[in-house]
Amino acid sequence: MADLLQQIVSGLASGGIYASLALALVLIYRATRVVNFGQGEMAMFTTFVAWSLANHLPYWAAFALTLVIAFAGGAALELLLIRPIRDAPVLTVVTVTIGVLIGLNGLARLIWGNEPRQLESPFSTEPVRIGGVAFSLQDLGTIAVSLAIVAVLWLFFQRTKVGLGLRAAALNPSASRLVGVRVGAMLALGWGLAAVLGAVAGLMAAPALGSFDQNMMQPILLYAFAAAILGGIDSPLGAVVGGLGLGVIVNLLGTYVDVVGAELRLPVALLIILVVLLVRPAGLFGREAVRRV
Amino acid sequence: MALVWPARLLGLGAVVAVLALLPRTLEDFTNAYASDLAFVAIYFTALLGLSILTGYSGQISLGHGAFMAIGGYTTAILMSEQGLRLAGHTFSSDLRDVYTIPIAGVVAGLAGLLFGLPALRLTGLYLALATFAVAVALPQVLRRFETLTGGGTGIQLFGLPQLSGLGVEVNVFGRTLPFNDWLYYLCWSIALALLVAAWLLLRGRLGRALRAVRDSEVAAASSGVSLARYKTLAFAISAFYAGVAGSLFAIATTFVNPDVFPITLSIFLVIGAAIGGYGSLLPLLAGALFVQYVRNLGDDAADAGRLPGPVAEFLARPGGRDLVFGATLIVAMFLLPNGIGGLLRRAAEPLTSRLYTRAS
Amino acid sequence: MSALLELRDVHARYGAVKVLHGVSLSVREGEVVALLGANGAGKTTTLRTISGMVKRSGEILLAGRRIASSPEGVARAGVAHVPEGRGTFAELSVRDNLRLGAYAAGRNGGFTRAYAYFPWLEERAAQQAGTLSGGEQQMLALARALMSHPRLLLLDEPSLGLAPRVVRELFQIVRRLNEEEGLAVLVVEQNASLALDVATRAYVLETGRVALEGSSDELRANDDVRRSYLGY
Repeated sequence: MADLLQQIVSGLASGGIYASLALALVLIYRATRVVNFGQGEMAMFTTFVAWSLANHLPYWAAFALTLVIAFAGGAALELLLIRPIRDAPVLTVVTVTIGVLIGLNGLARLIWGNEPRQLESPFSTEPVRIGGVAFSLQDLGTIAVSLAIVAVLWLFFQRTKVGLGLRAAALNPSASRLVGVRVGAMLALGWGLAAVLGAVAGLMAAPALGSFDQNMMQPILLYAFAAAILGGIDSPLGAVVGGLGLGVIVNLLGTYVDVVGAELRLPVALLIILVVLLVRPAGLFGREAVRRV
Repeated sequence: MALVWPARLLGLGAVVAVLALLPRTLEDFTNAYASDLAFVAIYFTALLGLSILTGYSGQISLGHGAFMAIGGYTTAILMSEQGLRLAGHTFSSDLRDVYTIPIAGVVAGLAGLLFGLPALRLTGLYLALATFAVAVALPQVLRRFETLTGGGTGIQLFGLPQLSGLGVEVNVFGRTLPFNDWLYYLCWSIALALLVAAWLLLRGRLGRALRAVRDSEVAAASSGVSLARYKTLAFAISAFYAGVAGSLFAIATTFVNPDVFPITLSIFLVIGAAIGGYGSLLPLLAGALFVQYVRNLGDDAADAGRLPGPVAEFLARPGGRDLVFGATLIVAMFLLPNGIGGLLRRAAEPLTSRLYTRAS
Repeated sequence: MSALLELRDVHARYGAVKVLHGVSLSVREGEVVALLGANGAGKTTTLRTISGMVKRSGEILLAGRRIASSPEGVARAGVAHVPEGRGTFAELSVRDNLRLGAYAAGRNGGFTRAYAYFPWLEERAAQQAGTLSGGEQQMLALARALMSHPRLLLLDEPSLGLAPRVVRELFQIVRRLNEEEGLAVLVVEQNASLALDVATRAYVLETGRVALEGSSDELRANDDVRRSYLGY
């Protein structure tokens, strides 16, 4: 029983990372109708930035500064690479995000080289005992940080004027412009926020992985895709629930089902999602487009 | 529309002429070029399949590498002694075992059909990510089911581990050819035959029905086109092409293992289709060349020798080649948002519209 | 009286298709002006051109100054445009739709004015706007426009698809807004008799040009207008 609880908490910690990155994908999908294949490498790049900063600054200062840099970088990507081709076919825009994936990976190796790095965890590695069960503080910290950033973002979207403008611009761009929302600025802002979420995912993933290199986010991006699809690609709530749920399921399957083991975790997770999709073609929380045929 | 066929045949003729001339004009063709160019033909074949699916039926696949893998493993299992033993037969494998290529295509096509049926429920992005999921999962599944696939080690196609392209000769039609040259002719003959097949297939009823499905499912259904039938059919044909490409891929590499068909292969196919232009066929050649050559820019010593010093040096640094490839891809998409095919269509449009009024 | 809005020889096109061929018209402070005409005459395009949603040539002045060329800029200059189809954010709540109305205005005067004209909105503030009836959505669109304290209201086919009783109620409110608050309105309307009842002046558009203009009474008395648009 204690073991099961530990595994669930550990699954929630990975799930928080998947959820952050999945939420980033959903944000960009809602604003631009494009799945951003570069999201994982954007997160990886900011993690390397954080590693460089952490050599000179206290951890949380480096953390905060990284988020600022991530925001600027995300917005800049939208302005420079996505906006000029906003009228191109969706597949063209997706291909550009694949270009971002490959290019950023190359750039990071050019700057930081091939050797793996370590980013220390801000949380102590000492376990804490709650009701006789030992939990890793690192896991609990990861869950807390992921949920906190999601909560802050949720408040921003619901309670602020700019948040309202972001939601409106994603739902109905032309009507938004008529009420004075600068839709272009909102898109850049959305990409910036998505990059911030990705940065948080990267910063939480790095210590969990032990050491990290330029390919650190690729499996996480796959889980995030899966989580976003599971929840419904246009549903922020779905991304969070999907991410946390996937983290727990994958961890429990890998631990308790022998056939699955470490290797088949991802295929099994994907299989679950395929089955979910066949039952609910727009994901758990997604809205199904009305099609009359 | 009347201009299309002369233009196509002219294009095909030009390609055949160039392909026939290359072995005679390029220095050290067998060792330096034949194998790379065979891979161009292989990518081209797979891209034809992807373009039929996406450009004509409007369904998106981000996982065509999986169908290539199915084709490649089919050929490998049929050709290798290990595979033959598994199948309960013992007859010697031989380089003439090209009969496995159509079988590989059919097996992949059946897999496409099986996948296409449940995929009918999915649209657009969800379908794209479902195919992506299959391609991601497949290498790990292959690794796991060792008895048939040889696990992580994979399967040697021609029995002998030391057999790589160089120095081996193949007898075809009474002539002796170096392995690489044989590969070059084999891959290009099949690729161009499948190109013509695609032209013929898409010319008639099937092409019209698929385009109708792509442009408006509602309108297509209300004019009596069976959505389910044509969408699964498109998936099956597309997977057949990928399966043939995978089979050739296995023959060209002379072995298969899960790393031969990584998820990046599927991604490269998407890139190639974008460069060539979805819905195009012959222009996909540009996409195949892009995937083979721009990605590997400066990879081998001969290439590096031809490039200016600082460029070669930059490409050799860690990440340099990927940075250049990613940036080139982005610039290409900026300049050609509809690929080379889109560019050609636009260039041809004033001409065709002056000569003919469009009858659509 | 000076003109609040003035169009001088405005041309507009959608791609290769030219829709407006030199439209000149004006709306004075505190005036309700109707834009009449058959389908395809360019009425909606005129409003969209004023709002910067269509590429144009010619001059458009707001209170004597050149108007901004983007929809955001026009909205921020105090023009509220209730478009065809009402521009409702169906997924958002009634309250969020109203908040968006105030987006362009720097200050937020709160919901008092909107609730004063449409009291029922207050009880249903949390409801998803897409679940309102067509008439209610049109009222919400009008309320949303009020939130920005506009100098000029552009109304596109407010009566479209609504029951006659709802339409009367709607025009009643437009009249009150004009009389009590001095709000200037440019309204596009298929139902000419209804529009002429509330408007002081009107323009008749034909194939992208102003064919006729005059006070509502003059136009009502015009035989051509009677035959073509009033139906008697």
